[in-house]
Amino acid sequence: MGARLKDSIKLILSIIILFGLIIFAYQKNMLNAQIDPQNVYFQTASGPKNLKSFNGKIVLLYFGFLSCPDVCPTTMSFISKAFKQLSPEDQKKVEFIFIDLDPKRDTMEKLRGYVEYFNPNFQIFLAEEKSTRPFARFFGVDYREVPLKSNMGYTVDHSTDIVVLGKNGKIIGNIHHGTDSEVGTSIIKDFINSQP
Amino acid sequence: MFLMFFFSQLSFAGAISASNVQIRLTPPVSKTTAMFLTLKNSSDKEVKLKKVSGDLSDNIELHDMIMENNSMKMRAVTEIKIPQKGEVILKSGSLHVMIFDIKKELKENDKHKFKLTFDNGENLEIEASVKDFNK
Repeated sequence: MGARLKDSIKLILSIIILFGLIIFAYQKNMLNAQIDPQNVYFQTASGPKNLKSFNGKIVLLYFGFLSCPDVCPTTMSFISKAFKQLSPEDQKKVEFIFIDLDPKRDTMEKLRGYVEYFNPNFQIFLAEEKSTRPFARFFGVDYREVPLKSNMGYTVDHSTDIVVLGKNGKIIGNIHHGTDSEVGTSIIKDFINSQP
Repeated sequence: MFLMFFFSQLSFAGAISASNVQIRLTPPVSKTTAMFLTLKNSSDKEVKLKKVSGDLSDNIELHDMIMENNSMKMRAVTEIKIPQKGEVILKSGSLHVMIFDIKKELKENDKHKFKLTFDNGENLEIEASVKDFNK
């Protein structure tokens, strides 16, 4: 009788602990999904900011890093050409933000040298991985450090789309890698016009 | 024995020839860039590019880019195959020569020399032009 009672207690305790773990994991996941990207702070060239500073404009988000030799320069080149083809009034309605995925190697100074070379008005967001990762995930952007048998050490695989936010900070679309810059300009104009 | 033509872009060495050799101009703060070119193989055996070397950097590698579900992956490769009687085009978003730890600042229209080494024992001297892809 005593032995069976002990076994039952053990079983019940195990079940309770198991449930506890499940609830804990679930809540942790829920918290991740509930992150509000508008409230995440980043370093920028002009002090700490979050997305709220850009409410009222169309915001183009691009996630990249400095040691990226091909994809990021291609996107930067595309977006800088697409911007130049917008009228000055339209340019004032759009912000481009480069969000860095490699804070271990990239500094604000180097990022400025890179991003501002393409357009001095482009913004830079730099934060530690623990802030950047859930922010990126919220926008459907995945990235992963990958060791390379190369003097580069590692590269960062990452999604290549530009995510477009409307004036209220909500996602209204995206622009795919490889889009022609003239098409890009017209896509951006469409987004501007869709947000009176 | 190989012939050097002084057309701005064409180089021959035995079976392999190179054309349209361009280096992407990147901001001075960036020490990494890519070189793109077309390689043609006039022989009836596949030839592999094994190595690229030059004064611009001591760290030059061959890389490939693979796009999967809107995510771009870059991988170092040990060789690039040039099919028999065929060609391979190294370009943005695909196979390319990756140059990092650049020793000299890149300026548009500058020329830089490189040596390509192939698995059939051939070597090819090429000249690359720095191009501003932002224009």
